Amino acid sequence: MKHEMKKIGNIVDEITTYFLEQNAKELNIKVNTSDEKIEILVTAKQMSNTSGIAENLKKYLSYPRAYEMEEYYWELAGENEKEGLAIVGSMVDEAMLDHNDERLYLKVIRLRHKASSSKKKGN
Amino acid sequence: MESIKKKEFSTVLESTVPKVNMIAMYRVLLILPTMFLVAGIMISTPSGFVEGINNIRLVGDTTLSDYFEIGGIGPALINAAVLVYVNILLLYKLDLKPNGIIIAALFLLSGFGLLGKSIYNTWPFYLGGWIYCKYHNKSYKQVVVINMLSTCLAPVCSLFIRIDVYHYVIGFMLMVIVGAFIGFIMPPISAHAMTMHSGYNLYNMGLAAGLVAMAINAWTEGAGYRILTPSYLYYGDTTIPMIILSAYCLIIIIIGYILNGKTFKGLKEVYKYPGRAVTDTIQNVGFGLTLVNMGTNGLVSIIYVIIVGGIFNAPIVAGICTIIGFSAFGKHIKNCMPIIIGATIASYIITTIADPYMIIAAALFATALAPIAGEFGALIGIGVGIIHVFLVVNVSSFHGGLMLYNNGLSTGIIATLFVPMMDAFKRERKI
Repeated sequence: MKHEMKKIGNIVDEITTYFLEQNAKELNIKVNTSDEKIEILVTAKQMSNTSGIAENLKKYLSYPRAYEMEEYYWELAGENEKEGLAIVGSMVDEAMLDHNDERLYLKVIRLRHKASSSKKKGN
Repeated sequence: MESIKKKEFSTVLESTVPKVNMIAMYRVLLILPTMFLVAGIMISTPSGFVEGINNIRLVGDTTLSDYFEIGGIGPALINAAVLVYVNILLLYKLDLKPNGIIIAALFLLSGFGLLGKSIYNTWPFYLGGWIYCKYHNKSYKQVVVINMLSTCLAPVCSLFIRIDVYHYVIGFMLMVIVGAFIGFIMPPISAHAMTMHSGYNLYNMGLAAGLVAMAINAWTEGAGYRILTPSYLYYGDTTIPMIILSAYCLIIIIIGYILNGKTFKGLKEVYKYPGRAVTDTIQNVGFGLTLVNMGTNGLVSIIYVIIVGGIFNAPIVAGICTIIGFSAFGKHIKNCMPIIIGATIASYIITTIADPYMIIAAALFATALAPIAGEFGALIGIGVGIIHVFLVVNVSSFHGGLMLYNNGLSTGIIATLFVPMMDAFKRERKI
């Protein structure tokens, strides 16, 4: 699909920037790609306000996948602050989160299928 | 190097705001075009309607084209209603659930259906978008909103129906080819324009389409193709549009109140967001409170127009519709008011000759810069509101009236300059 790799790059950029801005002392990002989906797994360590960050992620990454929004706004992913996470939310089909005082785990999944056959999250 | 720990995730992220089903949302969105349609039918005679619609179809649209003046209030309202009905049907058929940008796009069509857009001069853009999707193996639902917004270049389509130069059929074919070409190129152009202002200009399409229109204006003018067309602005009685808009705002406030469990609880949450793209108010607070926010902002805009002595002609109605629509996508009283205050101050000090009603409309459209007030504070918001009025009276000469979101181009230029400028003053935070 057109710009697909660039879009994934922008999602990773946005997530990386967000955690660095939250003063993550250690950040691991792993991208798994397959024909069906792209999985991005994140582990961020030693942030000062892990539960507050988790709340923020819950709010913005729960935006449903919105193809019409993605096509128009995807280039902003990686440029923004909180609003950039909302763009990421509209570009991924699933998002999962876990955290304790020291670490935060995040997994987002972007399905590769065409928009017409999609099953949207959050609707 | 440590590998990322695999574990079962305890939280699947899903929105916690109250959900409203898609059909109910579209029913609410059908209220305004239905009010337009009913009022339009009630105040039009059959012969007046046919003549009015014909005048709207044939007008050049390349300068200010107030359809209240060109076709009469009744036919203009019917034109806008039909345009919105067709777009809602299209969105529904594509199974798109209304979100902030979809609602904003529909309200832009409601307003500009009175000011330059008709079914006739907008459909080639959708054809171009559809071809773009086929060409890139995409679903049309990805591009439809961009097509809806890019209809601001409708005057370009109107320009090519030059019945004074060649046969109508040739003009029609030229219109389709040019309109479809624009519909094809706008998705990447508009997405790229977004990075110029980092989402601080809510009317991004005004900037993107403005740049395209500037090029088309230069080419057509250089080729001697352009002709001078008169400007049309309505100065008569506008009680009917004012009543429709006021009633509509009250209705959606009541519906929003009911959908939110018969309470306004949670409305304060709306004002916490700066409004920068992407701020989908529906996702943040739910559809009910979004309607309350839309209605409240609409009523405030109506009161503002009355206080400053405006009337409800097409540009001002379009300005109010735009505020209502974008109140589902980041605008609220707190980030809009500083901009409107700034634009009002500018109206007292500007010496450039401009129609006072167009200055009032400019003050309403200036709220595209609401994210700047939301992010950098009210004083900065007032400042950019002032700058907008001074700029907007000049930018139409850039594109020669070939693009309807004149204010969006002005706010786009301001945001593009302003964002890096503010960055120059911002000190790096110590890590």
